[in-house]
Amino acid sequence: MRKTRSVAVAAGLASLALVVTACSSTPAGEGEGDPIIIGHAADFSGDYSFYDSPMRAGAELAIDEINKAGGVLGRPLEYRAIDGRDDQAETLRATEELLDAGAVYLIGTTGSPWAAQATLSCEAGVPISTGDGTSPDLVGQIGECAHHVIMSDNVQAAVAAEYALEQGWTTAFVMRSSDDPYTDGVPNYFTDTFTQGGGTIVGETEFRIGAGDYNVQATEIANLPEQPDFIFTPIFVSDTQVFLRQLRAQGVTTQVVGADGAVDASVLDAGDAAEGLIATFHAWPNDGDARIAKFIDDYTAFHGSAPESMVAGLGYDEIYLIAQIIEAQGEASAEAIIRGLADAQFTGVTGSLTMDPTTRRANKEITLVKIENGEIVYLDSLSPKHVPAVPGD
Amino acid sequence: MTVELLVQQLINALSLGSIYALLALGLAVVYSVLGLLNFAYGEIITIAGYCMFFLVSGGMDFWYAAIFGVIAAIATSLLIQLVAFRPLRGAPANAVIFASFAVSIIIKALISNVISPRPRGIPVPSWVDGVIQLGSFRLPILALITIAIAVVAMVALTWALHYSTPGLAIRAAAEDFTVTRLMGAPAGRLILLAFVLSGILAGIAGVLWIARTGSVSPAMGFTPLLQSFIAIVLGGLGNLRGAVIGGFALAFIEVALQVLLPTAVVPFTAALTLVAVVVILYFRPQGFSKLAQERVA
Repeated sequence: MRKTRSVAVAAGLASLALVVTACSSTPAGEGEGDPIIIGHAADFSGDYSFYDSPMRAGAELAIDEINKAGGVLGRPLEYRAIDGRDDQAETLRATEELLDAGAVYLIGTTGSPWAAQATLSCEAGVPISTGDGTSPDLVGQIGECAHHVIMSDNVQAAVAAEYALEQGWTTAFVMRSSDDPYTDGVPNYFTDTFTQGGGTIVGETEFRIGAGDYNVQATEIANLPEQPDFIFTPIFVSDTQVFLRQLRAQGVTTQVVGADGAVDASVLDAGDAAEGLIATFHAWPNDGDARIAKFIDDYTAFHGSAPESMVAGLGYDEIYLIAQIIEAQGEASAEAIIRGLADAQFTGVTGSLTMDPTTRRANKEITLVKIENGEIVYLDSLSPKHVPAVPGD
Repeated sequence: MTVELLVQQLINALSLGSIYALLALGLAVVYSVLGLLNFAYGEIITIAGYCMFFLVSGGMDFWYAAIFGVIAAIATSLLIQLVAFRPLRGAPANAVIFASFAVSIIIKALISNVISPRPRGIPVPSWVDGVIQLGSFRLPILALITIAIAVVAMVALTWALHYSTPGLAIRAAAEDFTVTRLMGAPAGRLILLAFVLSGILAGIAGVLWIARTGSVSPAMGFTPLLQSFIAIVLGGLGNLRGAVIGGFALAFIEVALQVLLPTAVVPFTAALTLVAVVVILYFRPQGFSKLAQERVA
């Protein structure tokens, strides 16, 4: 009896845990005819919800706007988001559910279940994107249905390298982590363009993602025989704040250059230590850009608060991109979207993109931002002259 | 390597080891009494962190908020005891382990859905990031504070465990819970006390961890849980002094490997740290527990 009750308590708690984590949203369409289903099986409660949740929030706004304006081909769009919790089995189950429901397009998860999810989607012939996954070698391995509709790591790393060279910074110290293809790949692409342009890598060190302590690396940099012109690292928030504080606490004032993982309002929590940080990113509002400003206003009106991250703009743009393709193809089928994606050209709130039919990746300008006086400010938008090759292309 | 670099890296290892030791002690104190691991231990730190986040955002000073953070940690520890451990007393270990996992997932998911999945910053007073220059040595203030607080906490705990009756009972329970109960120590109160101690230690370690990271996130408890788990295995499960030794040993292994390994091998630091732990356990299956044998006289 006691045992039964005990097991029941444990089982009850475990089921509650599942219920609490698995939430889905299904905003209804407002239009005539059968809805066109766009699915999003991603991580809305685990580590990658950091990226996937803003994607979802941006997508919800776009769906609402499109449906209010009469839908696509006279049919409403139906957006279904299911939480895969960054778990391979859960993500596959969610993907299957969306495919069974008749989704014609899927926004993929940013986390590692993506490869398995994309394989499943491709078997069903339904196009899928990489979500906020920026690694350029993702879609090549999967097949014709996989598309990368945002900026790529090889391009953002090349922009960081060329921007540094333009400033006359010729020596760099690189800090990487082999824990993740992103933190390992970005430094490789950076090194390629930087050395090709005449720069020198004076040293390298490793860090562990989520270690919570980077004193060893900070001490190593502080004790370099000569400080480099800058430190390049793809370390991402909230590790970025810890590293910057510990680096500055060691008395190192050297310029730090990062990638998109570092650009988040939370990096400002590092206070003075974050000042001067330069990083590459998808897009950032600048004075002359009314499009992004309007997006932020509309988003705030729709969700009741401003976007936590500009990644929301990516989710918003992706829905509009697919709507534009369906409209142009005159047909809301998976095959038509794959055909349309091949050489799509699109301008959204995060900039303009042209799809490359060979690599199935978007060519997109990269934005540079800088932290100045406790704010992230727009610095420049660039396309690199030398784009490092992607293994497997 | 210069003497300065060696001393600075030693301080890095000592300060990291202080946090690991406190964390490991908090996990070990419950294990020593119940013989069960609390997998929701990391969430005690998470709740302490979010409590501090709300208080500091409301304008409270970081260190005052830290006191409330420790109180929140004690409350969370007791709540975990009440929800996951108490109803399952006498149940198979698997049921309790599942229950503590479930509590951990629920807390993480609630924070993620109700507050935000994104990390929230807690501004740390800028003097904490300062450095004391002693000749050619640079001593980070936060590292010194961390070591000092950990030493005071451990001395106080040692005193309490040696000179107070409940403390003696906890030490006795760590040796043999059944015999301790037969000698008249009330089991319920002893378990409650273990969870209070666990909460205090996790709270203090959590505050020091947050002073270092300057942010809180729903999954922030994972690294501390993992490190303290490795430390108590290394120290000999359930042995309190062993947990402290295990915590410092883990930090020294981590720092030493990062500093001494050639760059090409550094990516394997985490794996090599665990290999080192396995090697130690191969030769000393009881961890450091023999070294740290408690004398309950």
